[in-house]
Amino acid sequence: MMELVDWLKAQYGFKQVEFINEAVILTDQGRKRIRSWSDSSLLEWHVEWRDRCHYTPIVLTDRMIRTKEEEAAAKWKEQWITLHDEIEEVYPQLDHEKAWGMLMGLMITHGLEERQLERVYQEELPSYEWNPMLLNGLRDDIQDQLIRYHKEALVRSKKAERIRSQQRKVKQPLLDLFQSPDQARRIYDVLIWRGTNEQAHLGYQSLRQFLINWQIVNGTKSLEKVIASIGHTEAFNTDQALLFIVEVLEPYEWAEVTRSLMSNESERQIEEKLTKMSNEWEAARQLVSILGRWIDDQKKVVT
Amino acid sequence: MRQHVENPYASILFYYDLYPEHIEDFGKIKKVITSRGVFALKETTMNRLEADEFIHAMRKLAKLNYKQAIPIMPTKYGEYTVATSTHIYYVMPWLEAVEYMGRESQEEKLATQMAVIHRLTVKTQVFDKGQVDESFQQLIKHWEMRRLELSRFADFAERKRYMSPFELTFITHAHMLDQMAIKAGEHLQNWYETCLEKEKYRTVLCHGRLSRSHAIFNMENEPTLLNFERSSIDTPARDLASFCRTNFRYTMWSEDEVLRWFMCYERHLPLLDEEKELLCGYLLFPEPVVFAVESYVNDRQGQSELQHVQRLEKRLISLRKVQRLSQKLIVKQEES
Repeated sequence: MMELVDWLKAQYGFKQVEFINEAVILTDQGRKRIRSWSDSSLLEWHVEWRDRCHYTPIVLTDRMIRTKEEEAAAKWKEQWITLHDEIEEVYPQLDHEKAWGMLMGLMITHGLEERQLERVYQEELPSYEWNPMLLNGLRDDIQDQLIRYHKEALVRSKKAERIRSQQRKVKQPLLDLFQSPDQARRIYDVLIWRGTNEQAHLGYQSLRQFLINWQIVNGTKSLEKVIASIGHTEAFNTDQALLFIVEVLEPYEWAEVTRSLMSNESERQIEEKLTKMSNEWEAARQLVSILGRWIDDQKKVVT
Repeated sequence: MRQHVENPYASILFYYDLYPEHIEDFGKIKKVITSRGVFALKETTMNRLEADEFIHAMRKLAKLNYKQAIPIMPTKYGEYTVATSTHIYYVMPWLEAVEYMGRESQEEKLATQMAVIHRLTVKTQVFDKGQVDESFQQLIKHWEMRRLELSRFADFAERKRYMSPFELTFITHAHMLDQMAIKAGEHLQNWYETCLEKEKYRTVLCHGRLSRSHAIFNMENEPTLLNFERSSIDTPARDLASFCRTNFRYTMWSEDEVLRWFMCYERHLPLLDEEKELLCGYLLFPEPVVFAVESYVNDRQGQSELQHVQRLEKRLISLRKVQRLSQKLIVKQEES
């Protein structure tokens, strides 16, 4: 550890470095998070999107702090080390939708630009097949709900597939994962987004889940404001909105329940999953409807 | 007036890991007191291109080991400016000004520093006729337009039965101003022809607006230069002309003092004859009077008639002095 402390002081010119935990240090210039990277092309992509996705003084990402040599990363043994700001206060969601939408829009805009990455992650489409025999033994009302949702899930999936095939030539954005609203931190009322060091994700899947949760926590009005703010950014157009709709229509939440059924979970567990799913189902419906209205509004603007 | 202000500057200072304990407002400059020291945050209206040129100039001076310019601090992300939708900001260490006690004038010291920068960055450029013609014609056209504006204002004033004091002052000098504009054109033409003949001309890094308000003098009475926001690569004559125009007033328009500035300058970088021609052209063209007339026409409510007249008179005095100065510069050249 002492070796790393001295190395960090030398690389970044800190006078004081003290480890708070394995990933966070306290320096004379504030708390910093240490990340390590073994894939240099992935590191390069993470440096680039973090550097590009900011709008001062509203939105900033946890960009790589430069070394004394003005490098974004420094080689430490067999890996690359980067340093980022570590802010404690969580950024609020309600009444701050404009900044959130701006961040998402900036990430989408950057994600649609040319890039050369060897490996990207794309969520596979789940299978919606099930065995009706698995319903045996469950309460009648649960069985009824499952049958109804299964039918609707197939309809949603078909709709998604139809739009997907129409939009197959439209480029999908390459995005960093949206994992949790706690990734957004606040300092001087600026949204500082803490990125990950995960593989780049192709498409809207992680943003879909993030905004479904947003609707559940903050409601439809708030979600509408987020979408409106995304819509004000450069690259988010009707084609992108349709790609987003495809992801939201795809009933990923149903797949969770079928997995639960297949693994013979208890009736109580299945019922809990069903309740959670029905909330997400409704939130997804609201999200599709908001995106649809946004597309209609764009047509009105054009005509 | 000093005021206690914090936002939105704290969010800009975060880019530097500077957490302000107190910010004092000095207009475009904010004095920032932090646990890491005292800094100056400059708020500018530079556009992206100007900001790039500014940074390029600062880096170039640093690379040339020039120590008399105030350094610009990089953000923790390695950039030298921070842009918002309305402003571009940069941060420097805070230097406290010391009362100037030197024997030479402040302008002599500044002229010396300007010459040092020019000497360090001077480059002989091949006279690319197409390229030079374009900027030459542009300047000629600009001057013609300005001359036309003055002539129109003279016609307008002369048609009136009762002229205002401003108009009367202007009309009294209209002929002299027109002659100066013609003379400026001749000097410009001389510069062009000499360069064409020599097939080369010199460029330097120009500060753009060097004056005592863009310098801080230390205990040794030596200046540290700031505000390179208008810097560009141009002929030395351009920087010198702007320097003379801006600083003339500090000497009460003393030609001898201005000639001393040139002596200080030429100790480091002697001017070529054609550069003196260009300098005289720039100085003689009555652009300051055009601005005074424009201001009189467009901003009648902003200042009183007396204030407009006083401004015009000051500029006329300055131009008359410039006329004599340019004769001395050129005579000096002819004698040598």
